[in-house]
Amino acid sequence: MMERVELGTTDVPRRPKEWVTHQNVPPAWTAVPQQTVIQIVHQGCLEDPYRPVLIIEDGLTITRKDFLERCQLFAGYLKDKVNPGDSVAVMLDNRVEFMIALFAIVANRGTLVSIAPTARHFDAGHIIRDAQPVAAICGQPQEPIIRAVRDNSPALQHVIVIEGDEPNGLSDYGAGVEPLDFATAECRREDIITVYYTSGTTGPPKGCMLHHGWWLRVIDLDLRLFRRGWQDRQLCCLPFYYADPAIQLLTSLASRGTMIGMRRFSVSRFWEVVRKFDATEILSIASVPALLMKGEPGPSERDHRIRLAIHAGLPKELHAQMIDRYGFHWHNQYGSTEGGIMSRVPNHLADELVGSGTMGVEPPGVTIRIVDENDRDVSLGEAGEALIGGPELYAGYLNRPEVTAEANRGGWYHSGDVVRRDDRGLLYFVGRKKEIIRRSGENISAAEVEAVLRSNPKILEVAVVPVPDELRGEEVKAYVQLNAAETPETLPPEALIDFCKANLASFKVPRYIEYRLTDFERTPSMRVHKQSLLKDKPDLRVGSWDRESGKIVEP
Amino acid sequence: MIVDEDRIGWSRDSEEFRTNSQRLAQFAESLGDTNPDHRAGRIASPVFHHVPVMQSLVEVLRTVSDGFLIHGEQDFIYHRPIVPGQRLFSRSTLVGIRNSGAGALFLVRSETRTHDGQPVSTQRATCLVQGHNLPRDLGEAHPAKPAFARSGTREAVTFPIDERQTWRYAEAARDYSPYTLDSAAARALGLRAAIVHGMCTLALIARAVVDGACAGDTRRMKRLGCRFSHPLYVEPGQQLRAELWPGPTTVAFEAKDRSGNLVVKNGYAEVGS
Repeated sequence: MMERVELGTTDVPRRPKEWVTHQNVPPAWTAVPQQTVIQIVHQGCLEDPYRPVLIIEDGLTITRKDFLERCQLFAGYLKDKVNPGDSVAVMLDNRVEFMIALFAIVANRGTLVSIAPTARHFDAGHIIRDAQPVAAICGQPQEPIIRAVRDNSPALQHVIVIEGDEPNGLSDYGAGVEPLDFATAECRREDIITVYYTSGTTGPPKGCMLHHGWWLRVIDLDLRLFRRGWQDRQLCCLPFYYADPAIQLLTSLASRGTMIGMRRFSVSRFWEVVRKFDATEILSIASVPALLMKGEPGPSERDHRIRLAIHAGLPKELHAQMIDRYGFHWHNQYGSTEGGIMSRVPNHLADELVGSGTMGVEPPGVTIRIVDENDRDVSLGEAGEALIGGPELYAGYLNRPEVTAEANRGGWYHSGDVVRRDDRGLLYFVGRKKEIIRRSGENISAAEVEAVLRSNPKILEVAVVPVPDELRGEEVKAYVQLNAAETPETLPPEALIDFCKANLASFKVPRYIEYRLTDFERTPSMRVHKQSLLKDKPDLRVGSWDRESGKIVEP
Repeated sequence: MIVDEDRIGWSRDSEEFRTNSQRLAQFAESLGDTNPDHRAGRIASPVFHHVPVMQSLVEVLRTVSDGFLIHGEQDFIYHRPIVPGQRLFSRSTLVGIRNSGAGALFLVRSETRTHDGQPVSTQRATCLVQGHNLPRDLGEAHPAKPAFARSGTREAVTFPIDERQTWRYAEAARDYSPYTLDSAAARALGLRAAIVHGMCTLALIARAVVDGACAGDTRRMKRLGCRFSHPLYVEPGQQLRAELWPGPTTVAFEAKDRSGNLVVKNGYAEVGS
């Protein structure tokens, strides 16, 4: 096991006094004084035992008392199967048992290795081979995949299949065993409790290891930046195998709140779930707001109690309309598995910064440096890669000491994100380092072109990628999925080009346009999976409309 | 228990509470309320005003006591109704501590306002911690409560209390106090069985006041309060029998359980035109 290193302790740049800060943030560890995640679960359940901890969108309600009993019982079942440091693969849909399994594994000082429930032999097999779990917990739909790849881990002794109705899918396994009292759990703060595989742009996915300290810091920070209370319920529309839902559950447990879990994100069900289960807060990522804004207006989208939405990657073109239409603020945030919450719009500037596109500034304890190709700090206003420093960031990539060392070179985490700062210190996302298109010496952010296209009411979703070009190095290609009512006749490529020209510098306007009739494949974080687009065909120009010839490119 | 002059004036804020029709309607439904405005969530029933206050009230009391707090008296003064689409901010302040024969009484004043500063309600709660005594009283007392004559025609209304009543109220108010839901938890505190939330009890009586003296118009309720004088146990066949003496602008009331124990006394409501 490699040693976790604290990041951002050297070469810390001076922070000008006039830069914006988060105001009135209580001191560190005032929201979460606990030392382990298991203590949060235990205390949060005991102090208010009959308050629901989790409500699933079809109405299943789990009280804290019930939840703790189920966690402790399943932890008792795992006790002779999972030793400290052992990994347990979990491959489940959004079901209560996911969260029960998580805390049962962690209480035994094991590590949950998260596998997307939609993974297939190749991707699930890679994770099983890499993480070498001693047990795997899966649903019935995932069982054939797990059984097919189980030999990838010689250590894998137990395949635990969820059986029976939710929330009893793990109950049979605990029958007759002695529960593991969470008061006696001997977790240590440095224990790795979760591994999430990140959809890297190069190489196979790598497992990002997170320890108790990472979780505690994120939960404490999130509650200090936005205090929640007894009447608060966070809506979770993300897949449970991602880190965010467990963060939402733990911040709810630590603040007498409740999490409302959707089975999966759905535009048509969204506002009805919000209203029916009385959600007061939304956490959203990727294209969630853009998709919501294309939904049919209905009364539930106004008659709700939402106080705030926190969103990573807010579309600035839609920001003011979103607030106006739904009646609450959307705060832009910048986060990652490795760095947790790295930046957020400060509450006191939320009104002023609507539509600016800023991700705000670092929360207390976090520092972001912006550097050039040689890791030298750029001058203010210039774009460069964001380096993240702060206590208790990720603990490294599983089995990849050299990749971890490279990402942490110089004692700072290299995010791979290109950002810039304005003269008040506010941060702006420019693009993924690998998604910057270099055309005739100009740097074009795919994210920026996508945001413009997405703001067209006739467009449902887009993806912008580079296409190699002999003359200009790279050209811009846009994949465009139209709304159901639209066709390439109602929104021809010429009209799309005019729309881009009206909103973007001319060098950023796409040269190639390809209409897409089916949904895009998505990454675990619900972003369009661009790698699969890039591998789709040997010549990405073929089948696209070319702005220069005005014709479809033939093979 | 920490009892110290310094603690007088301490306050806590509840988180912003936004209102919508569904939440107001759920509260009315949990009480079996038949008022059409309450059921449709167009206006909150009078005791709903306690819901946004509860967190700050309990948190400020927890700064002085971790013992079992008994809600002894409650007084609502209404400035404007709660309707859908509001953003409510509530602050509770410990204003005084008093000795009584039964223990120490903690006096808390709570103010609820809209986001733009319009007053919504003022609430005064008196909570008892049994067995504790102080060398002297601290801070100020609550202002005197109205005492209305029990004159005129007496009206009586009976509300059956089924075993799910406290669960319905808990879910509607988000008050999941274990001694209201779990008889074992109640017995651990020396109670015979689980008890009905005091606010649920008062909310049932408020139904009768709105339907009767206010002629169905909740906006006419200007003040409401009572003393909780005996636990209302969740037991088979339990009921709350309220007796009301309406006057032109006032209502006096009290209520008994199925055995005739006086569970609510010195009740009052002021009704505007």
